[in-house]
Amino acid sequence: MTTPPTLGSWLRIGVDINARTLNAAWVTQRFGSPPQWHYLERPRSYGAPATTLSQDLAALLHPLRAHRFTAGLMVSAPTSTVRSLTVQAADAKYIPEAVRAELPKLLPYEVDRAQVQFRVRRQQRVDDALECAVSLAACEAASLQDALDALWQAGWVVRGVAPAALALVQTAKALGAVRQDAVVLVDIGERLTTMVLIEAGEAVYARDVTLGGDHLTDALTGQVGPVALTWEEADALKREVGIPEAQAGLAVGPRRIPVGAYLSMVQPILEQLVSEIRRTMTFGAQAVSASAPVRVMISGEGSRLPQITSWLSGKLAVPVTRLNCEPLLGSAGATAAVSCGLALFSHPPKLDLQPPASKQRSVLTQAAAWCWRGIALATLAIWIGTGVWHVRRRHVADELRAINVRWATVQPIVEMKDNVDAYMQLTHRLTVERGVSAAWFRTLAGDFPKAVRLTTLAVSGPHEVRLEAEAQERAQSPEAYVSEFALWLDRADLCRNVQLGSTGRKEADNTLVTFSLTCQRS
Amino acid sequence: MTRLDPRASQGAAVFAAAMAAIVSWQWGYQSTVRVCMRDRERIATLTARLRDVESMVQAAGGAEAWRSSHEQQLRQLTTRLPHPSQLPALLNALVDGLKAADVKLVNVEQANMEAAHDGQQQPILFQGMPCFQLPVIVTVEGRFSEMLAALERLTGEMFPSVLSIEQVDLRIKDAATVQLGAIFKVNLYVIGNPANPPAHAS
Repeated sequence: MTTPPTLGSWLRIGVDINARTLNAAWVTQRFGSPPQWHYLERPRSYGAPATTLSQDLAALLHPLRAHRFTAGLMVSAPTSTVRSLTVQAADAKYIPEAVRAELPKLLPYEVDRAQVQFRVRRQQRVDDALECAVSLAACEAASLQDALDALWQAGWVVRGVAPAALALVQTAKALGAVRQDAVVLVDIGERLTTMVLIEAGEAVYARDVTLGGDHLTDALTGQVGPVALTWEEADALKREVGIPEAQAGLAVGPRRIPVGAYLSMVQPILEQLVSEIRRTMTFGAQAVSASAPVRVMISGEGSRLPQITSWLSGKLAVPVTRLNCEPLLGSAGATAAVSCGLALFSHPPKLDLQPPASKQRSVLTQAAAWCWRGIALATLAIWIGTGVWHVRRRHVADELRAINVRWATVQPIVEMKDNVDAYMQLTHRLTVERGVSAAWFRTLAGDFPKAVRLTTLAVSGPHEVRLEAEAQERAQSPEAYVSEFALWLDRADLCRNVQLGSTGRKEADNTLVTFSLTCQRS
Repeated sequence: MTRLDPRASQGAAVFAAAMAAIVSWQWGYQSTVRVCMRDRERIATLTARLRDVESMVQAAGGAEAWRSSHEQQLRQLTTRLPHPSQLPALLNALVDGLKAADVKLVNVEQANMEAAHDGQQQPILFQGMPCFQLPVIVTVEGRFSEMLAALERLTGEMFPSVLSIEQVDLRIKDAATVQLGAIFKVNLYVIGNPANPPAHAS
């Protein structure tokens, strides 16, 4: 029953806080497998309610503590009311005002003490006004805040707060117990009974009444006919006997209490319960213009009383059956319709009664919880990646080791080659980069034009070359030979930037041209 | 016991997880990848160099053949960059080389030995030793082809020093016989500290 959910599954929890007991139902579902339901119940401790409730909740939800920041935990709203009503407003922005004006008529406590939520189901313009069909939910703000604070102190964040009535409707729908007919669901708790009128599968009227099974026990405690009972004895007697038929001379229970005396003690409470249910069936239906309900379904600890269904059926004149949660929660949670319904909410209902401050802290905490889990997963992925690269690195290191061994064998050759290269480079730097090579003179002499005679050659600095020469007229003019010579120097890659200096024919020999030029040695 | 505010605990968890992620990324993943990539680059470099060396050795006809030819080449190169104590012998070789050619040696002037510098005016060092140059101005007369032959001899591998021709001034002296007068400024290079002669030098 307490198997915690694992990674890859989601978890929804419904918590119902009662006067004497706390119960929690939760559902987990792995992807691709059917949902699994679980139920836990725990009696509340005696003591200061503010601290004991927190401790009791922590103990109740202990098996699920690992998921306290990520699970979808829903809580039932204490002393809640649900209504469908129609309001008229001049404009859409005045709807909240119109709803607020209706609240004093609807709530059994002051409006200032209420936590209210409503939603407009439909609206239409009638004459100058806007007529709106509104669903409204409300509960006592202080009690709700106490419950939320207790859960927060227990380390749990709440996803939503739903009225018990809506939870009952969820359960009834999940069990296929409601159809299109009007039905009243009654959850008889320990000291609170929730009644909800359903029409066409929607809760149209619901209220909580401070009346429950414990009131019957209270009534039996003390002197019952000739016998005095403790609270525990009275509770056990109530559970054993339930509502017996009145027969003269019949005694019930281990202490042989006369039936007449027993019934006289519990009858007023039961009659009060019946009148409240009847009031819901009649007044509720009239208030929301719903059809008269044709059947009643009961749940809660009070529904375990022997003969209660037949007794209620006789009193209410409609069929009364149990809303049995056993198919989902097992026999222990057979009557826990509220917590079961809360766990059925995949998202908070539209009429979520959680105060904004509580919602804000819940969202913040849940976001942080998912965030660090996401980062942790990313870190895991990083480490897996690191592992993969580590394996690769080992392979590469082995390969490198083998290559290093080969490299060591050729190292003397490489060193000698580097040595030779270093010498060659130095020689090249000294002879070619810093001076004129003999090869340059060889090229100059090798293809020197025949019609030109060199008279002066000066090579200085790193590249400067100055030439003086004579050109002889032969097949073409001496000037043409001069030009050809300048082009040849460039073409033969001997000089670049050839600049012709003075040029002129000799007076003594008119076929001879003397010229000078400068250039940059290549 | 007071329970820690869930917002604080989850906020701290986010911070811790973020730190763990950063540390894991920076010092776990990144460093491993970096080392692996560095080793791969080293393998690629070494493989390429090994391939080059092996093909070079193979082209030379095997490791022994390659070694002997390069040892010889290295010996020659080493001989051409002698110690400064060898300068007198180098000057002898220079004069002898010119005399051996069919040019008329008119004059030889030598300057002081100086440290050789590169283009950025930084002293040239070879294997940690300084390189020095001895500037020599040679004046010769003769035909251009004979001068060229003399220059080739002096700059060839058989000359016992590296010699660079820094400056040339060449003028025709006699147009009829094509005789030239030339002044060459050459540098002879030596390597090593002049104060520390090599062990084998006497």
